[in-house]
Amino acid sequence: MIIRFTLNNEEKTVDVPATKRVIDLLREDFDLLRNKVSCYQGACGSCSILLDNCIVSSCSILAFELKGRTVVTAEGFMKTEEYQRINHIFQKNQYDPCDFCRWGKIFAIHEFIHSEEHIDSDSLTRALKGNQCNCSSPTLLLSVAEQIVKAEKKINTGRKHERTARK
Amino acid sequence: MNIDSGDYPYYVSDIRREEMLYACFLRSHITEGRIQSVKIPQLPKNVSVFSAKDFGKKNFITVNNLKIPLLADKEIRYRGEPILLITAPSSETLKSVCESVEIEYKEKEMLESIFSDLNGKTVIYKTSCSQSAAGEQEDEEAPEVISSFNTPVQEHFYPDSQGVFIEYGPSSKLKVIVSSEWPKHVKQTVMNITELPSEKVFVMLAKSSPTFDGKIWQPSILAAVASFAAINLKKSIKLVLSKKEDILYSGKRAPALFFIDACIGDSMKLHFLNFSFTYYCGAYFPFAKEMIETTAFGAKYFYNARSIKIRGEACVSNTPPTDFFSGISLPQFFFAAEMFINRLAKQKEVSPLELRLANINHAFFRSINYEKKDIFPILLAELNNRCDFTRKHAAYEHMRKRGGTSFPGSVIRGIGLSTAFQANGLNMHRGRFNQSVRMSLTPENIVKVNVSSIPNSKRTRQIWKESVSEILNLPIRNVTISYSFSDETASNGPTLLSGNISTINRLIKLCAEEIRSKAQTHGREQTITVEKVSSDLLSRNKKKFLYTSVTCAAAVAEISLRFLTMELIIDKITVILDCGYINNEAVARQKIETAVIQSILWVTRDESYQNLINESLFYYPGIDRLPEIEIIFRSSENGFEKGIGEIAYSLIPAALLTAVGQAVNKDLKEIPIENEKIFNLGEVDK
Ligand code: FES
Ligand code: FES
Repeated sequence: MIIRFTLNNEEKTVDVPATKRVIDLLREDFDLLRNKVSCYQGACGSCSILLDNCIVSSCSILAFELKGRTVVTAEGFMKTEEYQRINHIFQKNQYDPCDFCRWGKIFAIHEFIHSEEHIDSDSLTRALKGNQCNCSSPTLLLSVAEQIVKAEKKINTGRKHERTARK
Repeated sequence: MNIDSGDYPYYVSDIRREEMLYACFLRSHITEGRIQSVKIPQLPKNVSVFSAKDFGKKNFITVNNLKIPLLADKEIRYRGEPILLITAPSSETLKSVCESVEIEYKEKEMLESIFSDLNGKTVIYKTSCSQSAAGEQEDEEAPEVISSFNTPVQEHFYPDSQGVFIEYGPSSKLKVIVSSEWPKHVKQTVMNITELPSEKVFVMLAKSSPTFDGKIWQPSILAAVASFAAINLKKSIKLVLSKKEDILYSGKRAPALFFIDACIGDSMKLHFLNFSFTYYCGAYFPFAKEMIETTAFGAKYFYNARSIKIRGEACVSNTPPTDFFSGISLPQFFFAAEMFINRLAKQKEVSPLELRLANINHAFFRSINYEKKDIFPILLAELNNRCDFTRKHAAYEHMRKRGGTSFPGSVIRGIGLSTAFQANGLNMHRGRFNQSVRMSLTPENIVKVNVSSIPNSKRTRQIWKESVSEILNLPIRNVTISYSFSDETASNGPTLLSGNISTINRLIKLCAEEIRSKAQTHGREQTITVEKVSSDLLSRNKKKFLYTSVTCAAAVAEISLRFLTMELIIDKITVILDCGYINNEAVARQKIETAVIQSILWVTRDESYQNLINESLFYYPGIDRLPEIEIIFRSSENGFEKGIGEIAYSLIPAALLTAVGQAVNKDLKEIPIENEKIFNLGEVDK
């Protein structure tokens, strides 16, 4: 089946077999290796990507379902200023998760930043709970996530005000 | 390199090359028996199948003097034992070839559980010792308390599956990219199997996720079979286990069964303490001696009694091979010992805290750590204050005796205490599996340091360099360090045995100080070389200690059970520890917290083989189900650093299960404990 979709800001056209999963398409056909596969069952979050700006497990979606949609992988997100700021806060806090959980965590934080959710530890915990990492500190993750979300929301509000003022 | 997190993330699963082949194992479907026949269909182009026959006399690896087969020949020793290695140009072809191979077996009768084989077990190592001291007379009236406890396997926690990539280069050079905690062993194994000289085998550590547990010798098996295939087919080969395969068949923490009996008199002193334990090592386990002796070390030194008797054994069973996990076998030991002490306290109606203070071997801790003060009274007093342990414990005991809560609708609570030590710096075989540091200072003021470890971060490497540069008063750029995977450094065994970072820190300082004093006495005209191993950290009268320092710690677990559903909520875990000098508190906290979480999973996640076989593989509690974790550092006056990474595995299981036992008013004796089991315990005011 031939599909067209946007991958990391570029238009792509591919012929995909009916049973191919998105994560395999990304890793095998596009050589985008930063998103990993672990459970292959939609349980662990290693294969998280942004699909139309929402976090999804790409091992649980068939490739043809990408038709007409927008995908951002780790490689695409790394080019954004938002990622640079997130990474800076990770480093400042000596928080260095492995690549299997890193992107699930980063995309969950990104989604939270752009949601209307109120920032408190409960809502952040809910946002991050789809990520199965048993080998780094959850306390630190929550604290890092809170710092990022607060800083980003501030930036976003500043931008909104700027836009309103310009109008 | 996995030590350089700035690198592009080349996990083994990410590697691809033109014309490479994929490989996989075809594994046994039966638990024990013999292979009757193997029928391989007509193979598609570029597909190859290797069996034990192809490996001939080389169908094994040697780990710590134990020969482990690469592929099953005739006999099957456990479910999942590899029988064939298949290679193909794509993973799809691999899958279809695997499905078309037919194997006939003659199956032995299957055991109901690993613990049901008590009589037919094959002991691979055993120990027994006893010690008695003169002291007060036994209280004739004091009744004996006997209990048994068992711990299940513990699953690994790395998200990337084990695997190896063999890059076949010109003139049969092999680049072996692997995630292993014993790369030297991988290299030796590949050289043996391929008969290639050292300069033709280059081992590179792939990037890997944070935990290494269960990756001691199995990566060598993967590397051996894949490199054999690569040499025969003259192609690069990638062999990565599927996640399910990895969870089912890679090395786990060995299950154990303990019997403990003791008796205490009115003074709360233990009159005698008898330990008898069995470890079930699966089909193969090359470190039985190290495991049993480590447990015996814990049993001998943690509590004082007029007489202590220890009998321990490791035996093989028909389950997948086990491997070393953090803490070696102390987590299993402390689970049993601490459950036992809590039970004793309950039966005698004394405070578990006071009972510990009366019986912990304070003199041993002062001696091994060169301390003047007793550390456990300090730790327990502060823990008691922080958690309000004594009051809460008494209140929940009161409720327990009344058969649960008497206020319908309210939650049922429990609190559990445990104490433990982490042993650092194995002192068993001088130079083999021991922490070691070799340091030389050239006349040009260049310092070369070889360490028996893979540093866990850039920061660790920096700390080592800073220590040397400070002691020898040289610029940091003059110091170069090579690690256990480099060719310059001797093979000191897996990092779990030879890489304790805190011990390496101490050895580095010791070497640098000795070089400084030699340079002052003899001058710097010639290269000065010094080598130290862990036993050098012990003074002459302590050389018999199996480890060179211990980290002392205590923990309290607080839990509640939801009314009616009896769902277990872990409210809070508090850990207090004396780990000496801390290089980086933020990192130390993260390490302990991570180990606390993994211990909770060991206690609460049902991963008996039966469940694994039933494929309930991917139950992970998310971040929303984790308790509040408080970590308190209480360092004693003695400044040297001690390890921290393993202590939680020894502390948490007993504290947690004791708390659950108190809430449900039952003497529990085994983990895991899941919600269903708690619900079925009955007799509780639901
Ligand atoms: S690999 Fe997709 S969720 Fe685990
Ligand atoms: S899974 Fe990546 S750090 Fe835990």
